[in-house]
Amino acid sequence: MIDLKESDPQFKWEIVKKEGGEGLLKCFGCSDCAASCPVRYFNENYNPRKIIRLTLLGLKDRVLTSPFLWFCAHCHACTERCPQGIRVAELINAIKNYAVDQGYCPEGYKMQLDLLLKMGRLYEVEDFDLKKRQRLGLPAIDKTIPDVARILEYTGILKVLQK
Amino acid sequence: MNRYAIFLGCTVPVRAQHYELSARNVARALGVELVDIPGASCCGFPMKAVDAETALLIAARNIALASQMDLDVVTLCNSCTAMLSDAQVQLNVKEFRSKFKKLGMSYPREVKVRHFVRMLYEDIGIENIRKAVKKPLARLKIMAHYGCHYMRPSNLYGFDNAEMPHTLDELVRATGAESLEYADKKMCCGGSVLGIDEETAITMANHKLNIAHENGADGLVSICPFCTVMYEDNQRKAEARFGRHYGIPVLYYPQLLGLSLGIDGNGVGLKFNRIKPDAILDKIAT
Amino acid sequence: MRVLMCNCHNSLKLPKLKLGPDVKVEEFDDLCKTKPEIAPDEKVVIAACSPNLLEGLFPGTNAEFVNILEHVFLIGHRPEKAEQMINAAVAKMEKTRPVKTKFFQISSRKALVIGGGIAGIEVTAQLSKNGIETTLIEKTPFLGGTVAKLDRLYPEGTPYSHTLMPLINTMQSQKNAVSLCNTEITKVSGRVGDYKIELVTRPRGVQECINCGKCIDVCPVEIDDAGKSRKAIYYVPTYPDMYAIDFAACTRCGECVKVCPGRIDLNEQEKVSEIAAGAVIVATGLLWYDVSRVEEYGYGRLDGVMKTLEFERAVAAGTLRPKKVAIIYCAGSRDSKHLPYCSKICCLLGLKEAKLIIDRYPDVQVYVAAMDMRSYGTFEYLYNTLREKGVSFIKGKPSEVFRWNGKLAVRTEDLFTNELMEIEVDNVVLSSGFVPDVETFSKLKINLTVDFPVLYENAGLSNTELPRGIFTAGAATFPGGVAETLIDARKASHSALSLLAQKEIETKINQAVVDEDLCSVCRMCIGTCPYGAISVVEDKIKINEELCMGCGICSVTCPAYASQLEGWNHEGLREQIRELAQQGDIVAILCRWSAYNATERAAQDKLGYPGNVKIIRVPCTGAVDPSHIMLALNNGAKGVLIGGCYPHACHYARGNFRAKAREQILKLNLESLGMAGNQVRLEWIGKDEAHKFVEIVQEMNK
Repeated sequence: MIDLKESDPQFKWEIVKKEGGEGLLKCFGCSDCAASCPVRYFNENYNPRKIIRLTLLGLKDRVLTSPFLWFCAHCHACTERCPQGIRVAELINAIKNYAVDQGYCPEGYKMQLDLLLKMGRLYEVEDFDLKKRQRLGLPAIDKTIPDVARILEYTGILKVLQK
Repeated sequence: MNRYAIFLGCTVPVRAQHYELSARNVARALGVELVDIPGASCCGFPMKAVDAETALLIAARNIALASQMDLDVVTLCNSCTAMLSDAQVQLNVKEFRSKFKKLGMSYPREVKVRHFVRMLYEDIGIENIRKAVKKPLARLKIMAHYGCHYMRPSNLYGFDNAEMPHTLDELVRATGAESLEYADKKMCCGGSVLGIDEETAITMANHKLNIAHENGADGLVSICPFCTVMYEDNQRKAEARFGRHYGIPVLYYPQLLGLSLGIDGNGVGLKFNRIKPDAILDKIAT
Repeated sequence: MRVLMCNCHNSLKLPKLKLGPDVKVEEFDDLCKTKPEIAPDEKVVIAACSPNLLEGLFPGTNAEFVNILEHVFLIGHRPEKAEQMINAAVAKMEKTRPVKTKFFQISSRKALVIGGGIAGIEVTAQLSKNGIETTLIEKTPFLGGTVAKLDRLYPEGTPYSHTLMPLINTMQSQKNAVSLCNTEITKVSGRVGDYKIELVTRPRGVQECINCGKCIDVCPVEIDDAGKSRKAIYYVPTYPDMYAIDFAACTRCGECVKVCPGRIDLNEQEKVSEIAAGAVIVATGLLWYDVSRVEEYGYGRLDGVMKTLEFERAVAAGTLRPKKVAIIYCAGSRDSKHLPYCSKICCLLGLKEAKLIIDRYPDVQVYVAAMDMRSYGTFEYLYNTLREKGVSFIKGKPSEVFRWNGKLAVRTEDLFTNELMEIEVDNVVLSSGFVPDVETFSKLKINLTVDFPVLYENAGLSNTELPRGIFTAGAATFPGGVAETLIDARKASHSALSLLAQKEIETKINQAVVDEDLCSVCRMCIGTCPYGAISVVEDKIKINEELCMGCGICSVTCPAYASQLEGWNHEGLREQIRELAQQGDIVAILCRWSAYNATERAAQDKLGYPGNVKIIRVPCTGAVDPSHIMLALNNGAKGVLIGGCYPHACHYARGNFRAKAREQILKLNLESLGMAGNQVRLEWIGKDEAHKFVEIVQEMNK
């Protein structure tokens, strides 16, 4: 049962303020997003409409602690169909960003962040790779791009790693 | 001669050199010059779910580097295309621009960001590609897989048709191969879910592999390294999970195009394809 | 000039005015009962109670109203304030351009009705019955419009002929009624009471027809007419009772002429004619939205996907016999990419189609996929009936229609069970929304909201001050069922009748006037007019007196101050502000339709506010020029409040949005001059929101 005593009336307004979250309040619950969603097609535990609904109801803890929030593949099938013009994938992403900010960041993303901090790219470029590229006549690439670390420090996102 | 800055991203130069190699060789054959971007990093997409602004700034830096070279950008990965295109829009927003400037970066002129395949479609054109084909791949039955961020979201790209995509089919047909019409063409490969829930991701990938199998496709054509990871690298897992045997080769579009342009198997890096496209080569040869 | 003051039954202690020799002051005990005569060209200042009351008592006067009752005495401010307010009003009136009375002769007592569907037929019948010579034009060869294409009408499913044929017969029996088919308007000139309309009548190709039907046997051209096939020469059993050639489809092969010589003329020419009318009634009906644009539903791409009308006609004709049908609601409706509005009748049309197929073939399985079911009013009974007939209603908006292994299927989520669903069917029926025929609207300069006409002429929802003599009737106003359409047609008929019953219309509303010497014809004003009243005629800016509603937006847009509003021209307003605004004052420039009323309410509700708040009444916040604000501040005012209607509630459609845009620019300018941007506030204040007004002015006083 939904207990609205747990509802945080500010939650939806905080999402609206975030990049991509601006369309949240337009939702009238037609469920076209859920019917379009390829992830939902194969895993009924994930439902974008339900995430949006719980967010509108202010059920912050339920939304942020749900493992299914992270199932969105960001494929934009929903964005194309939403009759209210909500950028649904961006909206779900805004909720993910909010969750990270509140300390709910999946380990996988932390690992990726760590890699970007160290190298500026997701895959380590080993000598073996460079030799292989040379053999194929492909140009050499940088092993690390330190500028990325500068950006990570600037936006303050590294705090995620400390939590 | 058309010149573009080529943005490689993380995966392509390390895990999909055959994609890169075939794209460079196809470009050369079609009179397109691809210029590398010194200092290019990850596109930023992996950070989007964590913090969109961080991702956008990383992406904006990469476009800025191309802008300083005075070149429009082409990318090989769908996700990179989406991320850089998002950033390109943001660079016109005052608040974002000022944050970007605070990092000491400059964006001297607006540059276009497009997928390499879109560039082929728009700048080279189907007609010219058809004319350049030396070895039409007449008997091949190909299933074109677009991936999500090639034409979606449509309000970001304004290219192709998000409901009924057709450009990759046309490009496949230009090589002389048949491009199969099939249901759920726009289905996502599941790549973004792989790190979160492998079971769901493999089920998603299996859906299209199964369609390809039932349609008797000789191969899937992909234009994104993530999609290839799902359909090729994880094909075994899908087979094991669903008790099927597929053995469907997955080619990057430039590989297919390269073959039709008369570039040999080495020139398009066929030996790096995990599922050997021997049946395809046999069909072409006869 | 006279100043008329009222002491309200000796209850107010009126100030002793010290005005120039040209100004005569008169005091009344009860102005509202005495009602002194005011000459039409005379300027007066009326210092009494609410202008909302006094405007009705002194209609069409050149008066500035000063509400000394509610703005001074009831609120406990000092009488000196009243004196100052009256002085400011006198200063304003001295420089004010008087309002000109306009007369429109009703020279033609005839009417033109455009559109021969049920609405147009009903209007023509009503007008001609009441002695108005009425011409009905219809652009197709047959009367009947959309209704004549239907098999049946909801909710009961009665054949259309029950309704349509009696209507046509009633109209035909009137000697004042003339109907012309194949006819459209090409040009409209004139004004209310005196329109000249050019008509073109396209060839029918058939005359003295005896309805033998030999022509259709030989015609080789077969076309699909919304789900039913017909030949290029065809007949619709309404009126006129004769065949017609569809020249868009006809190949002019001449086969029909061979079997019917002398009665078919493939080379008939079109005819141009002109008629005069005092009133025009637009009954152009509705058009089906082009649902092929909702690409995910596959109309035009997937066999078996149909529109409601096609389905209805094909089932009625017996050419369609499905076993399973899915009806998709809101196909392109309430959708930001397509029609953002609800077309109101499509839910009922969908129910009607479900009933039609079940009535005919009770074994058919019908699925209705609807994100919402809006079976309003008593139409709920139809919804109830269909559930009992076994229709499966699914809540949710389907994501797509597709073919899978040769089978047509609909993919949707069922919100009742929260589960995904794929429904395999033989046919998918798309219940799409409707759009009006905007071409006719633009020829007649009818203003639109979203797609449909602004509801001001018939319904009187907004401005009723100026009748243009152009009315909409039926689905041209908004899509409706047959009953609603006929009711709307009668409303339009009565509006037109009451107009045509007059010999002359007299109006005295404030309108914009352009000073040709100052105007450089830069055309900036044209786009800002919410009524399309401004145009360029012979290289000069012209304001159409029938269209201008007096908002004053153009007078602020004009960079040369060439356009001025009668009764509220800039010079007069500036004099008023100069006289009124003093050191430390809050000047409140308020919209007469909302915020001004809130100040009166404050007095009635005994909500006090400081005496330094000086109120100026304007027609719209869109008419407030930045120079007025700067003048008040230069005079020493510490703040200026501009109060208007809430967004979208503007009496003049979008004056408050103009004000909002200007406010932002003005604030930036103030800041660049080293002044505080927050000295100027634009606030939305409803007519009863006295507390909001009081809170704002108290805040500004801090």
